[in-house]
This record gives sequence, structure tokens and C-alpha cells, in this order.
Amino acid sequence: MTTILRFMLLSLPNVAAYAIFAIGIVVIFRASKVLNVAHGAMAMVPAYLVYAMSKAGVPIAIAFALGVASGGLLGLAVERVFVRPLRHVSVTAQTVGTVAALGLMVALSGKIWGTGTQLAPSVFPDKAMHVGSASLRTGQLGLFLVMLVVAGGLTALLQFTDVGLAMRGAADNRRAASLMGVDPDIAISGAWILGGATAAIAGILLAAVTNLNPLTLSLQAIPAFVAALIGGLGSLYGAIIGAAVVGGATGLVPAFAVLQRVQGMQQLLLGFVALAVMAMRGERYVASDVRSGL
Amino acid sequence: MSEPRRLSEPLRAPESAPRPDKTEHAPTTGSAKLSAGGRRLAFIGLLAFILAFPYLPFVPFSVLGNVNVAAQYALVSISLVVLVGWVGQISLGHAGLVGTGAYITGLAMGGLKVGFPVSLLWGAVGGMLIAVLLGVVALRVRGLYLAVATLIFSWIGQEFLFRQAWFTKHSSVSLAPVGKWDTIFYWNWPDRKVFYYGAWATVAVAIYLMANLRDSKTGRSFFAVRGSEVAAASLGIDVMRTKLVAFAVSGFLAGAAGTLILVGQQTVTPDAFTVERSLFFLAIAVVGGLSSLGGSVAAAFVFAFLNEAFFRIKAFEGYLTVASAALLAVVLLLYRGGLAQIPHDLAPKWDTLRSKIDPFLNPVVDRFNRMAEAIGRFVMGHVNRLRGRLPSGEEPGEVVIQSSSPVLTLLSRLTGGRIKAPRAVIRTEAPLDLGPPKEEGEPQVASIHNLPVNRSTDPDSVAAVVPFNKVARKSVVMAADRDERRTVLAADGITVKFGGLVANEDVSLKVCEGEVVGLIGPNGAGKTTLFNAIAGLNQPASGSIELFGQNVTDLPVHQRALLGVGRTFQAIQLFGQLSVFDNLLVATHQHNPTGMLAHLAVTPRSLHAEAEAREKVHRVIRLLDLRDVSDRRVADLPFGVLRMVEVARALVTGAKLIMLDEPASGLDNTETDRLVELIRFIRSLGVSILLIEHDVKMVTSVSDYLYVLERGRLLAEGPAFLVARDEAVIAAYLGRAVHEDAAAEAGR
Repeated sequence: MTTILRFMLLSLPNVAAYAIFAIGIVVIFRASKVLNVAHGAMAMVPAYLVYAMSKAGVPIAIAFALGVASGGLLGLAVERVFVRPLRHVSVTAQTVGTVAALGLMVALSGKIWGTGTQLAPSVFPDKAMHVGSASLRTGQLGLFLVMLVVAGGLTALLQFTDVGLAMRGAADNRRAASLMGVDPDIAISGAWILGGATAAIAGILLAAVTNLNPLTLSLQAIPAFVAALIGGLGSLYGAIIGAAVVGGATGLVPAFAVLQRVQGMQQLLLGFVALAVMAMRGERYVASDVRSGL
Repeated sequence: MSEPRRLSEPLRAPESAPRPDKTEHAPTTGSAKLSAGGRRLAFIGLLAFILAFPYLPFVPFSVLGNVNVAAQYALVSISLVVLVGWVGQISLGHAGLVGTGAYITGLAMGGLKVGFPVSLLWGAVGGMLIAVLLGVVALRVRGLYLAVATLIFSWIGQEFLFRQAWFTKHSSVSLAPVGKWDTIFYWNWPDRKVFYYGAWATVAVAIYLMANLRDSKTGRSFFAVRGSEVAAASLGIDVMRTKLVAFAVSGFLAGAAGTLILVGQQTVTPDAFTVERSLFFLAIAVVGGLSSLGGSVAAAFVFAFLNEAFFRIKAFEGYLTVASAALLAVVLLLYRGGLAQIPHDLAPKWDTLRSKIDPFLNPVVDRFNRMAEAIGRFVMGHVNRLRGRLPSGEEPGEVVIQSSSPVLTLLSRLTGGRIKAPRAVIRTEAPLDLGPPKEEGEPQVASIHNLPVNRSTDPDSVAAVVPFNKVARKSVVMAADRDERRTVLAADGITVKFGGLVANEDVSLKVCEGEVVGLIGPNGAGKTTLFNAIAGLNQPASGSIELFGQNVTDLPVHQRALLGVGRTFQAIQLFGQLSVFDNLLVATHQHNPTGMLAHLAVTPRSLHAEAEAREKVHRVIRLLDLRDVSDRRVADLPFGVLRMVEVARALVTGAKLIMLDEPASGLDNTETDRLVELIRFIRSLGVSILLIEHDVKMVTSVSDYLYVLERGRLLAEGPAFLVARDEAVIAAYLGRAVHEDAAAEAGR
């Protein structure tokens, strides 16, 4: 029992990271109706920037702030360059646009920083904390706490203020939103900036406690896609619950020797969770599927 | 996909200069063009080049290797074209399917000692099974779920499946040569020169089959689902099944590509099937134009030779992935048609270019033509002997359609059209039956195969169909009492709720055979909600719906459509990328009994069904006078025409009940008059109509019976002329509306 508890404790940082990613994915999905495949890359590039800055001697706090800002800019850039020009084509094309963004970011990062794995600078002082027999590094604890604050703040911002409403409205009905004084383009860009900046926070902190690799870190968003899926891609609370389910399930794998022996067990488990969610979500066509115009 | 300019068409002559004589051997003075024989020889030459390619002296070994890699890429790309380009479903995990195919092939070849061409089937079926497993779950839900499911699958493959010892036991295959040494039947697959044939033959077969599929009912249902899922369902297409079929086909081809990779490389590692690779495969398909088979092959070559270039040129080293990603981005953002678009864009410039190079080209072409004719005469002397056994020319009074399959076209070209592609010949004497099968003893109602025809021309031919507004209308005799007529639609006590909002409360209505029923009410009265409940788009909280005597309350949209219900949408739901003709052709879906395998093989039966469907559409196009726009892409047409096309599409389904959702909105006066005439005409065919309309004058003039909805409840019902005078109705709705109408009238 204590083993399971210990591993659940250890999985908390992951849960938090997935939650941040998932919230970002949901925010972007709500605003643009696009599945942002590049979300992981929007976390990976800032993590590398912080790594590069800290190697160049920039204090970690400043590097962190700049990294988060770069994440926001990255979000904006992906939206402006890869998504907006394809808005009139189809959702499929926009999603492929984010694939192009992902490919470009991963390829360029690999070219600049190498495709090998680097040790990222720790953001929090590196100490270990002991809870019973489990030891939790301060970085992991810090990650979890920061995530908690960010996730809470984001949820509050989106659920209880007009900002979230404007972003949702922009996606649901552009014309109506603009009549209500919301510039849909600004609202959408805002969603992407928010998504990019939070992805950057998660990426930098996650890299600090795991390690840094262009592709591996970009793929850390996949569990978050499943988490967002559990909530139906449109619900913030759903995404947070989803993150807990996904993070908890994959986090428990190392607790069982049988499971741990099998390579890739976490991914397999994740796949089962995803399929189970989809199987439960069968839907019929509804009248709101009737698009307007051609 | 517009047809490429045919070589046989005369090139644009400058001004109105007299055209050169068409005599075959006369030296051309304008633009040179290949004669029929010349084209044939050129074609044979190209084919010979393709066949001899591996053994040509100037082909380096590494180039040949890349050509073989291009075959692998092309096959994956084609499998993505089917799924993403044609059906609009994204797969972010094709490397997972390809890898599964490769490793299953390994198990079959290593464990079961299956030989190469046969092992293609193992890979293909393996890929297809995985696709079906994934698809059954992920395609149940609409939206981007398949994208996520495939992405996860690719990740599982990368981290789990392709690292399991039992699955990857035979990741290296040693291919034993097949056949007898020193004969042409000796196939030593590990040899690149030999594998070239195996790989490209596989790709050629795949292209052939997919081209057949594209031009068939199955292909059209793909395009329909991509265009508008709701509209596709309303035409009787099972959307989920269609997507699943497409994904299965895609998985089949991807798995076969896995076999090609394993056999070509003879050993595979999990690195070849990562998530990154999945996205790379998608990039190939996008660069190829995403819906073009030829574009896929071209893009496969581009990416295969990017490999070569980045391998050879030192300065490029390490930039291969960057270049691939950048190419994807550039094509997606700046040239979305991809490589498939280039010939279309170059066509106009080609003509100018030709006029410049013609003086030099003409003598060469003439000489080539003469040589070709001579060879042709010699060869055809022999071929003609075979001809006696082939189908002869067409007879008058028949509709003939030909298979467009590339292989047969090739054969036909080689023999100068002497060998013809298999054809379906339909004799048009017997009228085609459109509607659902009639039961014995049921009163015969008119339908669209009894269209008005001009008796002075051959009454059975398509050309005899007269536009509806040029016909004297037959009046339909109906029993005075509604209760004596057959009920087509009966909605009973329908309540529809959206959360707390009650959109329809206890509404009952019925439509009898052969009548036009109007449904009116102010904005927000719940008309469209009721409509959608009848069509199956809204699930009522209580109440029941019967169509043609069958309770359909729990049936999904497409099954209701199959019973004989057609509809139009308030916001037009045509398939924008298809032509008017193809839009109507999609509507013949439910009357075409042939299945996908028949379409793949172009069986005579499927050709016949296709011919029948096309004829049906030709008739309706003549009927609605849409011939001028028949080949135009729907997205380019004006609104008024689109409304007519949508009604035409409902008519083509052979529906016995057509539901029109505000068909007159957005139409001008002339167009509305035309629509009224059309509605009356449809009624004269015995088809019942349920009509939602805002234009009260129009709806009262065309309807037999009216229902008035207000705030979700039924306010009044009765014969149109009575309801229009009802005090309560006027007070609640008509008075205001009529007033507004009059004002609008005065304003015009």
C-alpha cells in the first residue's frame, strides 16, 4: 500500500504538467477548433532557450521569465503563421498546419541543440525531501506547486472572467462575438498566447526534473491530449480530471514490478485509457453540426 | 480534379489562322502534335523506359535505391490520400500502421516461410486489422478523435509494440531467390534491380485500384463525408461506416508499404516507425497535394531524392529533417494544391512555350509520327487478328460508359482505341426504377423515372426529358378527406428539449401521400428543431415519429433517409468541392447495390450500376434545366442555383417525402416563382413535401395543409386557405407577417 502511495506521490508532478498542457490544449481548441499538435513543441523550444541562456550565464529567474515569454510568442507565431491562413480551408488543414509547426520546431531544435539528450538547468534549488521512504526532489515539488497555481489561475481566468467567455465566443460565432465588441482575432490570438506561455512553464519545469530532448519533450503532450479528450476537448474541469486519471494511471506503472518489466507499458496503458474514453463517448449527429454556408 | 488537357485536342492556334490540313502525313506548319500513332509510340517508349530503368547503363546504384524507397513512400502517401485527402480524417500515426505491417510481414516470412509477393498480403491485412480496431472505437465519435487515437497508436508502436521481442522476432528477413536460375522467372528480391519491379508493380496496382475506387460510388461517399457529414447522412450514407472503410483501406495500403520497407531494406529497426516518421509520411502526402494519386508518386520521388541530395552534398548535412518540415510548411501555406497542382498552373504557359519551340520541334515530330505510323501499321496487322473476339462498337439508343481505369486506358491507347475498356451498355427502353421497391397491390405513384418527355424525339432517351417549367402540370387527384389517404409521415407528441429550454412541446403533425404541407411560425417557434427531430438530427425527449408506417424514433439519420426521405438545409449543405453533376451523383448512393470490392475490380455489374446512376442524374439535370452549370464546381455558383441543386439532389434520391427547410430564403422574386413551380411539379410526381417557410404568401399558395407553430407549440392546423384566415393565427403571427410582407412588397 505504501508503495502505491509513494508512486502516486511521485506521479503528482506529471499530473500537474499534463494538467497544464491539457488546459492549454482545451483553451486553444475552444478558440480555434484546432487540435494543436505542436503543443509539446511549444513547451520544448522554451525549455531549450532556458537551457541555452543558463549556459550563457543568465540567472535562472530571468531565463525562466524570458522562456515563458518566448512560449507566448511561439503560440502567437504558430497561430498567425500555421493556423490562421488555413482557417478558410478546413479544420483538417489547420491541424495539419500545427503538424508542420511541430515538425519545423523539432527539426530546427535538433539542428541547433542536437538530437541528443541534455541536462536542463534546475529552476529550484536541488534538494531532496523525504516523505516516509519516498524522496521527492524540490524541483518536482516546485513543479507541482507552480502547476497548481497556474492551473488554478487559468481556470479562474477562463471560467469566471469575461476573457474566457470572449475566447469561447470567438470560436462559436465570429460574427456574434464581434457584434458584442469582442475582436475574434484578438481573442483567438490571446488563447494561443496563453496556451503557449503555460506550455512553456510546464516545459521548462518538466525538463528540469526529467531531461531535455527535442522529440521526447514534444511527445510529452500526448498524454495531455488524452487528458483533454477525457473532458471532450472542450471542458477545463474535464481536462484537469483527465490529467489526474492519465498521470495517475501511468504513474502507477513503476509501482508494479510485472508492469515495469514490459517496455512501453505506460504508453500502452495510456492507449487503453484513450480507447476506453472514446468507446464511452459515442455520439450521434446533432443539429449543430450543420455548418453555415459551404 | 479537372481533366488534364488531352494531347489529341488541337493546341490553341494563333488568331484565326486557317488550321493546317488534318491529313496525317502532311508536315505541320503551326504547332506540332503527335499523331495517334506517334502518341502510341511515345507511350510504348515511356513504358519501355520504365521497364528497362534498372538495367540502363547510366543509372547509379544509389539512385536505383532511392527510386525503390520512393515506391515505399508513394504507397504510404497513397494510403494517406485515401484517408486524409478523400475522407478528411487525419491520421497522425501512419508509421504505426506501416510498422505493424512490416513486423507482421517479418513474422510471416521468418516464422511461416511466406515468400515475397504473398507476404504483401500479410502486411496489408495486418495493417488493416489494426486500422479497423482503432477505427471502430475512434470513429464512433466525431471530430478529431481519430487524429488523437492514431497519434497515441504511433506512440505505443514506438515505445511498446515495436520493442516487444515476440513481435519483432523476425525484423530481419533473408529472402531466398524465387524461381529457376538463369531464366527470366528467376526473382532475386534482395537485388535492387529486381526489387524495383516488385515495389513499383505493387504501387501500380494500388494506384489502379484506388483510381477505380475514386471514380465509383464508394469514392463519392468518401468525398461526401469530407464535404458535409450531415448532408451525406441525409442522403442515406452511413458516415461512420464510410470512415471506417476508408481507414481500413488506408491501413491495408500502409501495411503493404510496411512489407515493401522490410523486403527492400531486409531489416528494420523501431527507429523507422516513430511518431516523427508518422508526421514525415503526412508531409509527403501534403506535398503531393493530399488528394491526388499522381501527386503522391511525385512527392515520394521528391522526398526520396531529398535523401540523396542531403547525403551527397556536404554543406546540407544534417538539414534533411529541417528541409522536409520546411517543405511541408511551404506547400501547406503557399501552394496548397501541392505537386498535383503544377501541371494545371503550367498549362497556359506551356502553350506560349510551344509557339517558341515549334519551329525546331516540328520536323522532329513529323519524322517521329511517320515512323510511328509505319510501326503501328505493322503491329496492328497482328493485333487486328485478335480483334474479332473483342466487343464491337456501340449501337444507337444506348448509353455507354467506359471504365476509366489506367490499365485499360493504356491498352486502349497502345492499340489506338481498337481494344476498348470494358463497358456497360444500358438500353434505355425500360424505365429505371428509382424509388424503394413497391409492394404488390400498392397504388402506382408517379416518380422521377416517369418524367415528362418530348414524344417527338426518342421518348426513352435522356435528351427527351423536358424541363419542368415547360410542362403542363398534371393535377393530382387526392381524396378530399386526409384520413383516407396514406400517411407518409406522422409525428406524434414530439417534445424536444435543449437543457432547460423546451423547443418543441407536444407537437403532432402528419403528411399524407402526394400533398404539400407547410410549417410556419415566427422566428424561434421551433420549426427547424421539429424538422431536425423528424430527420433524426435531434433526439426528442418524448413522442414518436413514423415514416411510411414504420416507427423511426430511434433510427439514425441515414437509415431514415434510406426509407425514402430527402431534405434540403436552411444553410445550404452541398459538397462544395464537387461539381453539380457529382453532387447529384452522390444522391444515387442508396440505389446502387454494388459494393466496394466490385468498385475496386470494376466489375460489369458495378459499371452497369454506375451507368444507370449517371443516366438518372442526366435526366434530373435536364428536368431542372441545370445543364449549363452541370460541370461547374458548386462552390463557384450563385446562391439561387445552389438552392435548385439542393432540391435536385433530394429529388435524385428518389425520396417519397422531401423536406424543404426555408427553400425560398435568399432567393429573389423570379427565383421564388420558379421554386413554387418546381414544388408543384414535384407534387405532381406524387412526392409529398414538408415545407418550412417564412414567406407566408408563398407557403399558402403552394401548400395543401398548414401547421402553425408558436413558441414550440402547435397553434393551429388546417387546410391552407382556412388557416390563413384564422383569427388566432393572424393575431399571433400572420397579421404581423402579412403586414411586413406588404411593406416589403411596397418597398420593392
